[in-house]
Amino acid sequence: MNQPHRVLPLALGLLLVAGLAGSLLQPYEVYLISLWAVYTISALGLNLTLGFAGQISLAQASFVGFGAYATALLLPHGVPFGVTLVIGAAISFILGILLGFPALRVQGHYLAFVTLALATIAFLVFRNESWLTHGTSGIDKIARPFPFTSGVAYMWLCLGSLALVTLGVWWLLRSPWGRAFLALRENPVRAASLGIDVRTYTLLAFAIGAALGGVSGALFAPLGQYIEPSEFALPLSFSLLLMVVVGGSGTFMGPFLGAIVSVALPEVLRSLQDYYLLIYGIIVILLLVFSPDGVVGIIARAVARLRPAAAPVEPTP
Amino acid sequence: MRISTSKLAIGCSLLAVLATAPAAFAAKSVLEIAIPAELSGSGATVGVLWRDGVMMGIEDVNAKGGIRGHKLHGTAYDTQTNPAVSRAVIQKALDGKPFAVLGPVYSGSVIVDEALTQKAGITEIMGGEAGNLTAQGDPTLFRTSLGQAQTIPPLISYLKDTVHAKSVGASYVNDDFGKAGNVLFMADAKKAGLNVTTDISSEAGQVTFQPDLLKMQAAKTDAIFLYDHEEEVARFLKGFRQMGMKAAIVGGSTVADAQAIKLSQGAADGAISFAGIASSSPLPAIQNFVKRFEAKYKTHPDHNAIKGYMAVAMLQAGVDKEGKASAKGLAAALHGLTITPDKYPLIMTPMKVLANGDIDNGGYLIQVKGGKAVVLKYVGPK
Amino acid sequence: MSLFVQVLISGLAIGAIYALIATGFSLLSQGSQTVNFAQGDFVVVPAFVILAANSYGLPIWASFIVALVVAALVLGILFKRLMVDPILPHGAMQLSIATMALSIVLQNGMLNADGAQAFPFPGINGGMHFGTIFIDWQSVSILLAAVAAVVALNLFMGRTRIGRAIQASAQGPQVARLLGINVARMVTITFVLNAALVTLAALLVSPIYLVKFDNGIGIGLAAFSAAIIGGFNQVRGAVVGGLLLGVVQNFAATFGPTQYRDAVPMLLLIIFILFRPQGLLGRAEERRV
Repeated sequence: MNQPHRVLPLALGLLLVAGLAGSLLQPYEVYLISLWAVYTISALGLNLTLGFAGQISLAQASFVGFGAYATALLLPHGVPFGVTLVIGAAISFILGILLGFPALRVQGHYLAFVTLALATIAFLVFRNESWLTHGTSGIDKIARPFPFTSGVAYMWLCLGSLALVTLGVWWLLRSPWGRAFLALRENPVRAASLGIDVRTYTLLAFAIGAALGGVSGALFAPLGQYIEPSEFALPLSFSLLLMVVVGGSGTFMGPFLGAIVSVALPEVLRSLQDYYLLIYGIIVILLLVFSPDGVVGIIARAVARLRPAAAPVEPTP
Repeated sequence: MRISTSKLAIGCSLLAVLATAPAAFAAKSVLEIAIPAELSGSGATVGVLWRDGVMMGIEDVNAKGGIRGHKLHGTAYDTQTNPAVSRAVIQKALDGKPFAVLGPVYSGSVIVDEALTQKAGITEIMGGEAGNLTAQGDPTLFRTSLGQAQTIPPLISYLKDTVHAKSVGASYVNDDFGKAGNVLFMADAKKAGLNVTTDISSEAGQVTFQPDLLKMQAAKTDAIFLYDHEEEVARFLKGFRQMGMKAAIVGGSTVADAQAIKLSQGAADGAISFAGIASSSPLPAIQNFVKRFEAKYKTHPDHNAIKGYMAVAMLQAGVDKEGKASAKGLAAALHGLTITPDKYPLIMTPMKVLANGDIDNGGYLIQVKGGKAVVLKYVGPK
Repeated sequence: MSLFVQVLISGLAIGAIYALIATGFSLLSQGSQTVNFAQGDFVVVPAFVILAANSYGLPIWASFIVALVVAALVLGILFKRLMVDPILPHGAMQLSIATMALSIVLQNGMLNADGAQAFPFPGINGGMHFGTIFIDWQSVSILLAAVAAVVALNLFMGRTRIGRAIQASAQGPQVARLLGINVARMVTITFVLNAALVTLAALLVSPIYLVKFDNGIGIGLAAFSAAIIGGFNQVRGAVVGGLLLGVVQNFAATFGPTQYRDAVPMLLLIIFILFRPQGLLGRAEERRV
């Protein structure tokens, strides 16, 4: 499941199935599918940083926040949604470069530290600068872009955006850049010895990952039609990391499946009432105990068992 | 074969009961009540009590035969104190076509839910107190307690006319609840000519309040307006007593709340607050509720539990005003309604529902004395 | 001047608690590459155990010992056996994420078991005025206990055979094995040490912070930051990082804009990393325990 050219049809097929299913279901499921698409975009970005460049970012929620606030604040001024989305992504990309450059100067956990600081400060800015962000009372009545005003139409916009992002990431990983990313993931030392500029590629992976966070935020704001600072604090960063790793970090399908676990599993477990989040946590731990490469690994092994001939779905070494 | 007449009579009446019972039940549908609440995450402190209050109200109403013969059924939905999740669960609740929505409490979740319940024409009675919530003109949104715009002005008058404060320090928790209260307080204090010399923001879950207190001390404040959650109030007041500070403590309902009094271990003595109906209110009905709630849930009900309980009474009164249990007409029936405890015991004290969805059921100026909240003054509904 | 001293002392007291938790955090990290995102919740669990034992009539010191035993078993040995041992071979990242899930489990478990409300916790009341400076006994006791714990830990690590074996295992497991050290056992001991540190932290911080199911979020984050400032996996660094964070937080809150009180230590952190990427005390070849 590592080879993007084999899984691209799978990913796009999954989106189509989700969309068709959503069109037949209740508004609740439509909303969840939209939310899944939005989180998947963000997790795909984080997967570039974490899964391919091997760097932990705790600021993905802040990048989502930049995208969400840019859209929520600019839409009422008549700026078209497409433009607000690009602006949000650009802000995140530039901040990613500015933060990543000094942090990646040194090896080790430092990107994690710097992104932790950004996550704290970004939340405080969203909360405190109420002249700009409306502070703790949040921004209400965010309009959805025409003609995607109904729940189902907006779901298709989210799924369509995810499809474009999926194609983009697929192209990226197949390009010479992407091959460098893959080499980086497998063995940074060897990659460096082959003449790959490790730091530049890591920085790019981080900044592109951040930009995808911005894209996801731009879609997030009109989905709930309300945003407030606490939504973009550390807990979201944690749950995005969880999506990537539980799905299978460094695999193409990982973020899609991890986001399903994170969005759908708690909802499915709701019937357990007071204990549903506790059970959710235990299931995630068990998943990590039994499958080192997350949901992707489980599916890959299941497929391999069913079709012993179909070897290529095994994770490549 | 002979059958005794008595046996025959019993048999016939049994048959009659069996035949009519399902019909009697089917005639009156069960009213589904959706309860979105903060059952996990930082809001669980208020959300769990709110849910339990609503559930107890539903049980009490059902025990008396329901509302106009309709039994109530409550379903709780956890918002995880997160607006995005709140949006999902309110959608799930609305897909099930509930009769009414009771909850949530946190502003962000209320704002998200209110947009959807308004569209669906479903009445939503929520536990939020932030001033801005009812300012949006949503005709289907109601409070079940006083809002900040009603509880803060009496405290400003108290600071001005009773304490004669020359220099006031404000300390507030910088979240939706505390910030909204602080904005209102600062604006009204300015209008009243109160001299607020320091305005200190604190974080929910802040470990120590010593820096905040030192700031107050340096500003030589003779009164402190404290607007925070119970645990932080307790931490603040313990530090305040330890440092031997002397300023008058005046604050939101939490400073004289039973939980804050317990947590502060004596440090809350002397604190003044203005609160709507709360567990410390000296009404027999409230005290009876508190006892029953403690016996049932093994925890002390704060004002959130009482709010949830009273919300069920609002449903009762609204349906009676309509004359039938219709979800669409409920909100219109509630506006302008006066609900009295002689007809609706769950309301516990007379409540007036105002045109904007706010309510007025009076409040108390309270002071903590010897670890107990003592009423200084009752202010009835206007 | 007196304001300065006052802010410093209360900052040191809070910092000492961060230091204890961060020290345990660093021990786990260097002993087994475990970045424990549930470390804050690890402080709340023994606090509830102490309260529970106390409610059955045990005095506080005895309740503390009960909590030590429970923590050593559950947060030390069980945590290692059930989570770290099976997941760590899959990768340190997988384990970190699993501890995030563990944090969800612990918080919701405590919420279900003990309710959402905070509980008061017995502490030491009173204090003393030195001129205009007020020193409260709780802060003093926190500082003394934390210093004693850290000194004891250092003596244990430096002067005892087990301590040296732990250090050797952390620095080079292969070499340690060749020297006949039971590395797995040494790692288990670091987990038990961490459990003891968080239990002590629970005893010290709870009188101030109270006991509530989600208290771990705030203290866990502070300890995480302290460990980072201190160089991530150096015990002495964690101690200095914790004290520094407590003091800087207090000064920032007293003299800075209060709305940004949490931002100041973070900004410091960034500047710090720019100029000293190896952490506070870090030198590449320095002894790590």
